[in-house]
Amino acid sequence: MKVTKLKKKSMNKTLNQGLFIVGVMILWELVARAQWFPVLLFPSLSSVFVNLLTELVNGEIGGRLLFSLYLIGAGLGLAVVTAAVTATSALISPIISDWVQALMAVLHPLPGIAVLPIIILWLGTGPQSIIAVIWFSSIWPLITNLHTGLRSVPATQMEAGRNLGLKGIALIRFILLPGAFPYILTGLRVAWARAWQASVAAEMVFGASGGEGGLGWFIYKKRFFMEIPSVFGGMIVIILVGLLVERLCFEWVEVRTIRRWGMTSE
Amino acid sequence: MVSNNEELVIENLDKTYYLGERRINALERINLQVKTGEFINIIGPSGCGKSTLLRCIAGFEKPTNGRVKLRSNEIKGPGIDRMMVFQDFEQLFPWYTVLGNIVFALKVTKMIATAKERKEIAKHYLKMVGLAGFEDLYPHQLSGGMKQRVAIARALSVQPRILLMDEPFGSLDAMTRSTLQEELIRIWKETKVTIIFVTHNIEEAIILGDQIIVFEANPGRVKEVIKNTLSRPRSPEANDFSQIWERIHKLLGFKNRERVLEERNLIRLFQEERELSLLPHL
Ligand SMILES: Nc1ncnc2c1ncn2[C@@H]1O[C@H](COP(=O)(O)OP(=O)(O)OP(=O)(O)O)[C@@H](O)[C@H]1O
Ligand SMILES: [Mg+2]
Repeated sequence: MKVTKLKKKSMNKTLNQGLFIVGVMILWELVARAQWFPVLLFPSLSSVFVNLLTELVNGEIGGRLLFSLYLIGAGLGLAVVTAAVTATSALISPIISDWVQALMAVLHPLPGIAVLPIIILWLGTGPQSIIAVIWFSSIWPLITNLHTGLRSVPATQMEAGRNLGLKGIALIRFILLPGAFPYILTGLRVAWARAWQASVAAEMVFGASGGEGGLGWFIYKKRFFMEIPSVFGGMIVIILVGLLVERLCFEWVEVRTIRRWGMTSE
Repeated sequence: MVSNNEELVIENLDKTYYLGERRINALERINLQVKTGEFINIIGPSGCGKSTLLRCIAGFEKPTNGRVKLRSNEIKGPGIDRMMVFQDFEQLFPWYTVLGNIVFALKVTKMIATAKERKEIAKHYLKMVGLAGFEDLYPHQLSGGMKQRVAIARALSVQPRILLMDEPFGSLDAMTRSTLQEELIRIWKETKVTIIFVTHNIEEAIILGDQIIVFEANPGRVKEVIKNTLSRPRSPEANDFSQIWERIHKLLGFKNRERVLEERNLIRLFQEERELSLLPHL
């Protein structure tokens, strides 16, 4: 009884939200058709979608998306490895733990994009600089969450593990990592969002200077040529990828791990 | 070697903590012998070092002086020959099912070679603690009492020589507590494991133990060792039960005899109501 009621409630919510979004889209279409604003600056939604479709079929947007994903994958991957090594060393040595906390306090408030100018000087204007900015933007939420997560594991679980003869790496692998998993997942979510923001922002600063780029560069270039429907198309692709990754990756993992284990706060 | 059935020997054990300038004598000059298969209870006021003693035996803490010997070998660190069951409900690994928790213990200790055997043995121990049929639940889906049962099953599954229990029933309601006491006695007889059991509860100490070790605090020391030869099953109704109860009560520093009797009567009342199931959730 209760379960079906809950399901019904959440279905109502989804329906409500879907209707709202469709409503906003219709409103957009109507406002654009009324031509209160110049069509060049405020294209109709239908023209945006038609344009997006042709872009997807024979345009460059697919390639740009893949390139963005490649940059983000590389930057985020590096960040995960760095964060894992840093947090583990902080766990083993209290001195390193102090250093990491100091670094987090000092560097966390610095937006990743702020380091771009100096990165360009050091690494040039190629993809390597964008990867570096993504790395810098996503590493702090990863380290912070990992650091907190590893310390959130109850002492009795650690002792139960030690009682079974676990120590060192085995203790980390079998007890600490799964215990910290709720935090790790949160860290990955925030890091993924930050990585997208950083990649788009960095490519816009590069502007047309680089010969290749991802979706950020695509949007920037299209605006340069005043192809406004494509600008919106680029944004829609970013939104869709974000939604898809949230639903298909993060939620999929969450349902099968921390929700099943009762390790979520809700 | 012959005629030496001393399972655990504690010799001149001191444990001192330093909190800044302050020096805390958690344990001072503890000497104890535990025989194989015995059921030992430790009781004492809060802060008298009961947990510290168990943690020294488990190998989580190093004694400041003296030593703990298991079958004449000095204890250097944690090991599966001494398994601990804690008071708090978080000792199970939430990412494993009930069965998974035990299978994991068997796996990391390399006790059992094949996955199939591990499952069978895990099921055997779950059945022993009365949880057959609950294999696939996750710890967050269990009641406090069930969690403690799983913790006991997990500890027993690796076949320790000694089971160390630090107020394992301390957070349970009176009903569940007395059920689990009875089952623990049955399990102890079945497995013949040596048990060292810490409690705050005088009644619990008398119901369970062969020996009751009464501690005093500041510094933490053994005040008296009481042999408990009451025949099992033990009922708080019995007259000799009351005598031991009053003796321990006095040792713990409660001098007022009137109050002692009053409390005894209260406990008797609770016992009766419990039997009549009037206090299911107390
Ligand atoms: N890690 C520690 N650092 C400093 N002091 C400690 C530590 N662990 C225990 N103590 C001190 O040692 C003394 C004994 O503590 P312990 O936990 O063994 O008492 P206990 O008898 O188990 O008490 P309770 O019945 O409340 O559980 C206490 O005074 C406590 O403050
Ligand atoms: Mg204690």
